[in-house]
Amino acid sequence: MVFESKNLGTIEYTQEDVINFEKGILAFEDNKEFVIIRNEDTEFYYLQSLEDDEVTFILVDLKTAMPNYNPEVEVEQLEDLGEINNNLGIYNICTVQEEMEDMTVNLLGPLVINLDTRKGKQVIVSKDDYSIKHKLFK
Amino acid sequence: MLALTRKKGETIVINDNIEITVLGTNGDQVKLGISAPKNIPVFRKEIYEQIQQENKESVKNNFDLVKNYKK
Repeated sequence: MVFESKNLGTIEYTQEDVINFEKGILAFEDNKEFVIIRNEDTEFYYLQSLEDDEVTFILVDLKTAMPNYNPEVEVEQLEDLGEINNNLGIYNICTVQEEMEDMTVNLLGPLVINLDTRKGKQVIVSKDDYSIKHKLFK
Repeated sequence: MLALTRKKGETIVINDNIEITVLGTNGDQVKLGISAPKNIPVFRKEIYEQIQQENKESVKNNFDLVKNYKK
């Protein structure tokens, strides 16, 4: 299948690539279906809504960039992602407008994606001293 | 909006599984104890609003910066 994204151009994907955000992403609850695309071999990903060609998030996988990042949520909050078999992806939403080095990352509200069931949700971590605007390159 | 008056130590029940107790007051602050099932997230509203705001900002990203980023 093909999707035309305003920000990314033409995206080719298959039904298996689709991730379902049943409850949506905060402030974007109308968008349920997304595809996630890796930005070449970097730690960045794009999350494109399949319902709105202007809704594209930039995500980062912090495993290497910030190995100490340890978001904790109650396991019950992940119930709607289906059965979890150690195949959870944790991605954080990035905001970057002027310069790459000013990029900020939302550590408080990561996206958790069950890569087996292809279901995802935005959670708020229990430790609320994590920053919403953490400078990644500093 | 439903308005209920409660005294310190008194509780309201929502949907038979959520309890909110007034633990105490200090000036214009009210301390609440909330007991809810763990699958029900409970947060200060400002946190939700800040994350909504940040999400809205992040769809206005400059995508070229990341497209041109090399590891």
